[in-house]
Amino acid sequence: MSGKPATDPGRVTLHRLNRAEYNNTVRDLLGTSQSPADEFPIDDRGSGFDNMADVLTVSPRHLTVFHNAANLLVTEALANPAQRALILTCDLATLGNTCARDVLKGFTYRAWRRPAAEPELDRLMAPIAVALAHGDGYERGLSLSLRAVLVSPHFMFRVELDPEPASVTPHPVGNYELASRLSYFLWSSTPDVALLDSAAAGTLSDPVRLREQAVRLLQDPKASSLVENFAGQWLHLRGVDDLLPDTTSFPTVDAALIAAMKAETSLVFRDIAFQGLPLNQLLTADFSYVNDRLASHYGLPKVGSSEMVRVSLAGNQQRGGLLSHASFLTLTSYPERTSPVLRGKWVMDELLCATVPPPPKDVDLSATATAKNEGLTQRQALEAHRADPKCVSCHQLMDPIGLGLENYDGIGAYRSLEGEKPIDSAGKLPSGEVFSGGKELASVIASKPDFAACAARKLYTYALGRPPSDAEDHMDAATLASIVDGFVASGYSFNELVSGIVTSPTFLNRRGEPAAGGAP
Amino acid sequence: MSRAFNERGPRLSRRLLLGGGATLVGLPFLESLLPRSARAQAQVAPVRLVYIFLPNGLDMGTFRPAVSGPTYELPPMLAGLTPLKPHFSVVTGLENLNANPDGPGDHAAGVSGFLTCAKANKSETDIRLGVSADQLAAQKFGKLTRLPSMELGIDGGGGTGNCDSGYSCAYARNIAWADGSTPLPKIVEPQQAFDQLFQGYDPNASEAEAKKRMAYEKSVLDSVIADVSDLKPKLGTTDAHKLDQYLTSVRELEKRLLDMGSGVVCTPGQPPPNKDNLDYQGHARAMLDLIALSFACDATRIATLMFGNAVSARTHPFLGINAGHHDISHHGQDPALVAQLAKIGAWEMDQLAYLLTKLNGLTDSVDGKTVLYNSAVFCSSDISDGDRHNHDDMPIVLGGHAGGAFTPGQHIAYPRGQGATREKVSNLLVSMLEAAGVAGAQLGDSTGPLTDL
Repeated sequence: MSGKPATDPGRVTLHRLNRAEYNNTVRDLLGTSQSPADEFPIDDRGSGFDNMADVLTVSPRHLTVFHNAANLLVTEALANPAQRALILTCDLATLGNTCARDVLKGFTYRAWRRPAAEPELDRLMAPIAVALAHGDGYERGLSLSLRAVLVSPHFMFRVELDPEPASVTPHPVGNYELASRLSYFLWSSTPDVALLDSAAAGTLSDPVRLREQAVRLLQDPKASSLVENFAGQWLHLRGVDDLLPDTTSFPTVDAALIAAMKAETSLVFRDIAFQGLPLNQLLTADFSYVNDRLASHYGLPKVGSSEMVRVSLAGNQQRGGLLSHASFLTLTSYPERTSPVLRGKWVMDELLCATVPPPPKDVDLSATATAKNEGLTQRQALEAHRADPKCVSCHQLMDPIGLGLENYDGIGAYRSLEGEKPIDSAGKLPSGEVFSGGKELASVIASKPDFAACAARKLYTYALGRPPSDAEDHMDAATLASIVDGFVASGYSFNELVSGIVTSPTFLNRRGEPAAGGAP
Repeated sequence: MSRAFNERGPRLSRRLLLGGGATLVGLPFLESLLPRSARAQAQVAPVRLVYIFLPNGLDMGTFRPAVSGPTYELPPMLAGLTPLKPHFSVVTGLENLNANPDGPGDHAAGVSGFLTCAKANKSETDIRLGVSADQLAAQKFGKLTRLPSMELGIDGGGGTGNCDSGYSCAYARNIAWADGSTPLPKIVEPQQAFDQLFQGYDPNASEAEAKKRMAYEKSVLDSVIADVSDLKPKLGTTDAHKLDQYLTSVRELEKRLLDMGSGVVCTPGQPPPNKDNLDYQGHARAMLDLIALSFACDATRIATLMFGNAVSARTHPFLGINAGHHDISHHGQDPALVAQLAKIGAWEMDQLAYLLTKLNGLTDSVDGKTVLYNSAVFCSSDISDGDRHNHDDMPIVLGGHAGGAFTPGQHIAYPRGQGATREKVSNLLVSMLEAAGVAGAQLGDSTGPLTDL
């Protein structure tokens, strides 16, 4: 297997729109305020994200909900004057077929994210003929054709064609396909007409144009989908709503606090991503967002609002950066207590991309649970646990990180004592760095090359809709390394990371698949 | 097209969205269109198949009966099934070895192997497994009913991050698989399941209106099918396979919308409440009611129901249990945790009793027996003991008489001692298929039907 040149750009399986993508797409296409995909089956995740093309399967249940949604969306769009004007660009009643065809031509351009071929338009005209034959008018017929557009595989899938489907020779993705790659990455939605027209001009794959478009898309409010869907999954913010801390252990917790936790991290990520701040400030930011509820939870001065307000944390020894956010700290705790192990594992999984295997079978997992009963601190309990040779190899990686965050309780409030015993949050990572407390730990992690590489890897996975391959002849490894270099050299600029990804050879190219399936 | 819509104006109500703008089936209309349903021609009562998945294993100490054979005493966990004792068997000692993961990942591999008895390819995205038992049945006789099969669940799937140790969430959340790369997602909203079963035509429409409506639906789907046919030759094998699934799904939708021969044979009554208005117990009951209703109406003959996904962290406050189910299942022999696990298991068995009782109360119009007599209900978990993560000695309750093929009322204890030749879960699932008329099925590691059921 050695010595094979890395020439494989990979291929993305036919990508079905996921729930978020469907909702955003029909919002932008039809102007609807409905979110029909909320009723669709939950999309399964792979590699932590629900936009992995291979995992976006289809089933009869999916077709039922697509069909129902298309039916209702078209009915709504034709009945609502503002929405109707987006679709009906001519006088259907007087112009008949001519107008209907024009309408379908314009609508498919946006819905199928490319111009429809003439035979495709011919097919879409057929339901109109059926309606006319049954004594109905063009309006009724057009509604059927529009439904057909929205149930078509050209709408439900992001179709990318290979000139020779069975050939593994790399080729550039088409300009329209590239427009979709870009917009579904940055907007979780369909390309706008400006992006489609740039594809039509045939210039989109030019790196300068591509960067221009990427920057334009990032500046659009629709890029907030990166907060919802990328950060929401990378940083597990989507899971914050479901948190149920034990109210006996944590009497102050309530829904308002949980909501503020999620909002804080979302807003900090937003500012870092869209205001040109270095991405490693995610861990070291000297600002945050709080409302009165969260401020009192953190022991900060109230901001005089139930809305989230940006506050400076310069000089604050307790707060600043994700590892001091109550969202992360609660997500990685048990309902009634902290878990240094879960916190350490989370940091390794999500921020350092270092997978820690689960414990082997037949080990005693009760050490930390019983710590409290026996009057031990978490640190003492875990030291005892690490004495077991089956446990030490993984725990020596996770425990120092988690124990460094013990000043934050199970809902992220600051504490100096665990029960009646003082907390020692000093530590040393296996790689040698020493720290005292959460803020120093965060600085250590933020400056690790593994963090930059991991952040890039997560965004790359999300951008392509597939995890990077470690096959030797695959271009992913070298591509990612080059993206990381550019990202670090730019001072951790999110824009630069995005630009690096969208101009990379794996984003711009694909290959077919041999008839037997799989790579040769 | 939807008169209700026109009355209400352009705002889409949730109800309309679920119903696709159509109103519920009215029986008289269906009968007028149906000279003869598939069912009316049947000579032998069909065997219905139910598969119920319980997460995180069971407390084997209170599940396993002390002795085997027909004279066994019900163990504590099964106390709620006492009145039904002649109508189910307890099966122990069967192994599902393909549910063993490569390295960690017992829950995901246990869920994906639950009805496939196949080994999941360990990957976050490269999904390869096998067809599930329920779908082998659906492929054989699903065309006789309005829905080939019905996939139900309580938890759609939430959470974040990796689902289980390098296995995609697809493995951790789905027990029904149309083929090795196509999981069938479950419906968790009772109203959606009801609509899926019974969504049909306006009972007040004239026959001409109904025919027109079908012609319109057909014109829409014909256009979609033409797009699929046009696209498929341009795709590589994986993409073409996915498009095949799309086409299969369009065809199934078309059949439901256009082929009145698959109509239901009852009046479905009122739709169930929205799950937001139901607690866990009420939600479970609503799903079990839907299974009974779908069988009573012969809207489908095959149902799966998942009480949770892999590694379910559900709390059971109504049982006084506030810790997460999966955490409890790693009991480490702590008596308090084992007792909680036993309590959850007993509650789950009470729900099974609820379903079996309902099926026992339905008369099959073909042969006058009960629907429970003409059913085979498989209820088990992804693992045996949640603390040991073992997939041998699976805890199984097998309800129903399978139309006379099974002799329930026993504890069937397969040998599980050291050196014993183990029998397989796959062979039990094959036995159910045989009883339902799927002859010679091959499922995962199956070698042939069991003869002791």
